[in-house]
Amino acid sequence: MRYLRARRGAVVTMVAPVLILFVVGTADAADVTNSCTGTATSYDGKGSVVDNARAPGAGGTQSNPFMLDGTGSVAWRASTPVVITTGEWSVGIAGATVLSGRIDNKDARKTTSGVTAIGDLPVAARTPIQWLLLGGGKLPVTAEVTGSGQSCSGTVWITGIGSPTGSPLFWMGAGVLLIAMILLIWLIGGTTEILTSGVGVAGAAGGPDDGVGPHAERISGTGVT
Amino acid sequence: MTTATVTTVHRHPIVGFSFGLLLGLGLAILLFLYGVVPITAMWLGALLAGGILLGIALAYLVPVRHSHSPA
Repeated sequence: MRYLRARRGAVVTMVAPVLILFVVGTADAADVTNSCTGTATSYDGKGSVVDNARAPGAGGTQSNPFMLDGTGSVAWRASTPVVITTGEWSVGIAGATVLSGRIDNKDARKTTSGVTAIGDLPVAARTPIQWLLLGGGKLPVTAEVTGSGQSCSGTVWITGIGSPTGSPLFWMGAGVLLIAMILLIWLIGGTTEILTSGVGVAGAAGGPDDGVGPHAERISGTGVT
Repeated sequence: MTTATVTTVHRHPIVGFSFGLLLGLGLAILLFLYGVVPITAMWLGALLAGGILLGIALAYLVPVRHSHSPA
């Protein structure tokens, strides 16, 4: 068990920089800077090719997002025009940073490649990707590399394959809407007009509204002596 | 002796707010999931704000159900 945990930690450490290089490399026309380039091919869980992307080139834009299988993997190859030996990197999904770390390129390489399995990513990155990508969700992934001699940043749009009903988010959304409909029925049924008659009640009606309970709105009042 | 008849309307803006918030959230999740709108903070905020405004507006616009409370 301890071996598996250590192995998983090592995989995560290796995968994180790989992911950002993949992202920067496939940003395409979306927003890549400083001549960073790359190619990527996604595979499903059975090893069949799902999609290809190239930067500069096609794929990774909002209108033509790069397709991923949440149970599959991505084979990637990325390069920078100059060597980045040390620095920092970060990856954000829909504006929230989910991965970050330091760059340690002791071999002074300009090009790197590998295969990244979605299932090997940390939960913070894997779960929203897998849940949102089921169906046709289009998700912007932003990345930034800042280091010695070079910096790159980019945004790539990704989407997934599968059925939306297979995602836990589908049932969460449906449940939230069901609760909303119950509240709507309560809202309609609870909006009442009350006619009150009796001695001394006029002063009680239309009192101050505390903003928490029902809002009592005095419409009219008649007094009889 | 003095008797009075007073008509009051009980509305529920907090319930309307909650309804709108949940409506916006539920719609956002499903629209994101089906790829109708891109998954961005801007769309999430717009859908939540739209839902909340709709809910509060509904709280003040839904038809009133008549009721009578005897003295």
